[in-house]
Amino acid sequence: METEELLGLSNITKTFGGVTALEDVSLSVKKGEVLSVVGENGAGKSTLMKIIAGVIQPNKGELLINGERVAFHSAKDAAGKGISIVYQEPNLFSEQTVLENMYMGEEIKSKLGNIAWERMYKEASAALKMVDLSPDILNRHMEELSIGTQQLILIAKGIYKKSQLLILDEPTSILSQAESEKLFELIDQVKAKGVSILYISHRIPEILRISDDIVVLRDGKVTEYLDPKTASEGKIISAMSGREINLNIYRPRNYADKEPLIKVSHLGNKKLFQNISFHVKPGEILGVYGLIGSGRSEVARTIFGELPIEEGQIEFERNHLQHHQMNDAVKKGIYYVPEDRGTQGNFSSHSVKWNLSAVFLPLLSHRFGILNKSKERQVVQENIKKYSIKTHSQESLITSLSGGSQQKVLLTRWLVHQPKLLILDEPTRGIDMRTKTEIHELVLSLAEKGVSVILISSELPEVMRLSDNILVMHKGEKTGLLSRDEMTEEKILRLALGLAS
Amino acid sequence: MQLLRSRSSLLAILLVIIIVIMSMLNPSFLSINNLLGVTQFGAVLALIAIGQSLVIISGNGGIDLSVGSMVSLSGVFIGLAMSAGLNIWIAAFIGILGGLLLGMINAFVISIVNMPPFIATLGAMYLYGSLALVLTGGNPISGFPQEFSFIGQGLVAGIPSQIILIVIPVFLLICFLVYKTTFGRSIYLIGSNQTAARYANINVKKTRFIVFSLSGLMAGIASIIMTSWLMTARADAGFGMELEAITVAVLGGIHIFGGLGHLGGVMMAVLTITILSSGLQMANVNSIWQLAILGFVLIGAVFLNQFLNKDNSKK
Repeated sequence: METEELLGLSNITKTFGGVTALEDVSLSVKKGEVLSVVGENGAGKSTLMKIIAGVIQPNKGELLINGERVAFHSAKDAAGKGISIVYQEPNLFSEQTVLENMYMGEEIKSKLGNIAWERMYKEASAALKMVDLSPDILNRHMEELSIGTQQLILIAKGIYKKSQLLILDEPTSILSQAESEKLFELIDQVKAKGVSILYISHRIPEILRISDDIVVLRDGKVTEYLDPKTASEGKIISAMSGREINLNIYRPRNYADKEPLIKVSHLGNKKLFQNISFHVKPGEILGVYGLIGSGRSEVARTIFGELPIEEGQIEFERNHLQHHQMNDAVKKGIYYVPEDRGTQGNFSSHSVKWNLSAVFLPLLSHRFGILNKSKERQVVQENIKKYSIKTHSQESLITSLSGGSQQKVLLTRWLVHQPKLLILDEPTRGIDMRTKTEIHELVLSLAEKGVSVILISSELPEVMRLSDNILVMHKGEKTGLLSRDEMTEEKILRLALGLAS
Repeated sequence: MQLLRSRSSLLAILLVIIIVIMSMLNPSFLSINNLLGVTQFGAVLALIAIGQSLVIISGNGGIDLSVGSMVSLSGVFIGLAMSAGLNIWIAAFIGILGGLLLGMINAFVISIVNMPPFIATLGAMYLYGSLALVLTGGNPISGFPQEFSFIGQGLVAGIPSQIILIVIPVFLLICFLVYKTTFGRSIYLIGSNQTAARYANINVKKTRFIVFSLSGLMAGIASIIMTSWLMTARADAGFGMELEAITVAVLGGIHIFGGLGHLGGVMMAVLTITILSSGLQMANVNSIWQLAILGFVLIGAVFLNQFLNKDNSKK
């Protein structure tokens, strides 16, 4: 193997608002090697990748390519240096043909400036041959092909672009076994040609198989370099999980001898999730942990009545929920705070007041739906004060607030009603430490008042700090239910990754 | 400068400028009687623009291209009911119900069948328009009783009766509905972010259904004024009015992507456009130029507003 360095990162730091995504990360990719990056959700893998691909810029630190210092201002800059990236959820133009997709925005042009279709077709055929795909599909629409095939096409495109470095983000998560095998063969081939690969995956067996080097990220820092020849599954897991988690904020509660408030049995919905069973008692906090795509949010949305109950059943206060709809859920005191503030939470063109009152408008209306505006002002003011939401006034635009304050608005507006079951989906994603602590404290105090909480989070420390029990999901299935005495970081991670414990 | 940042006050200033210029061209323009008289030409537009504005505010591609055809077809309903020997006021009421029904058909197709508003109302525009032609055989229906002309041509205390008896009360009622009730708030919220509205347990389907029905109701009411004014029911009476309605809605500050804008601004825009076009007519400006000037005012006002607000947001 050559030892010459292709890409070097030194002391890369990136913060978003007050949140540090990467801290002082240094690493090096040699020519023709496969470097795998592993880490939990939120460890900083995707931020790292985006910095290398030029999509975002670091606050501090240097990038070196072939020993030369570079600064990327856009993905195009990085592509110019031979870096290509295949995303986990690729941007596709599903109504365009495969050929058009492969050359989108970088069409080959003839001297006269028109598109040289024949040359593109020829090149693309050669690229597809490398991944054992027939050139016949070039004229088919992207949407007619399976996701796995789409992914292979993009990988072929990345390789054929004469890249020096190919970044693959969880490429096998949507590939079948056979397709994955094809990919691994391909990786070996391009490696032999001197192309380097930065490989991101959650699947430890394949990482051990194809990597030349493994780097472990934890909380935005590089914690360990491992050699795949000597590393084992256990070693990688413990390197990913070896952090200090302060569990002191947890306060034990007396919920165990109560009747469950909600019983979910064998709940399923086509491909989203299957056979999910659990129950939550009044005053209990049930953590739900799983990787993105594990079906966590879909289970929550079913309980909230946003998705229909297709299989199995939900029992709430000893009643079977039938034809369960959102409005029924809200009437029963089941509330859900969705994971994405921007697209599912905020009314971004409106005020803090309007955003807050949106969920309790019926409480503010007299007969005939006439809105009691002075009561609205008063209730909103009480909420702002009670939960110390930092805003200039009620009339300020919601988007003028910090992410943490926006989240507080979206969460605490449900508390104006009396919640019985509160489902929080990623309640602290992307917000500052202080507000995070405040929200954790709030969740605990709600549970102490007898509210049942389902806490969905990608952040293991958060789930472990607050939960009485943790439900772990992997690819739509329940892989474990751990009580507070049983839960260790390593155990939870293994279950979430679908490994035998 | 601060004043110009709100669309309503920008339009008010524009209105004053228009009146000053018009009265220099034609001194009789500035009489109170003339100005009041001119407002009657805006009555139909005012009503359908209110409906159109609510549809646009409700977002998610909200637009109603069928309002012109609904005005025509509702007018035809009135004419047919009158011809069938019904009392003229009952016939007028049938016009209102007819408009509401047509709006509800649109509402059903859009909010229950989930068809994009642009396509659904474009189809409805052709359907309702040709139904009006079929029902009348292309011939205008006349023979309305003389007392019916009071709505479109009469005066109450010197003010055109369609303004004081219909437009102002309807406008106040709609404003009450939109700005004083939870339903009105829902229109703005679903227009701002439909997904967020759903997760906030706001009934998106119901809200959108009512909004499109209201647009039909407004067209139905407008058809009474139109018919009374012409004293005939014509299958092409509302032809092209959907674009005028969209124009004044946008000029009045309704955000084309929904969620923002005030009905007060829309009324100012109707007033501005109405006074401008009748002023141009009195000044004998060729009607070809009138449309160009309308286009210029629309683009100019929106540009000025955006320009000033951009400046504002930087500070």
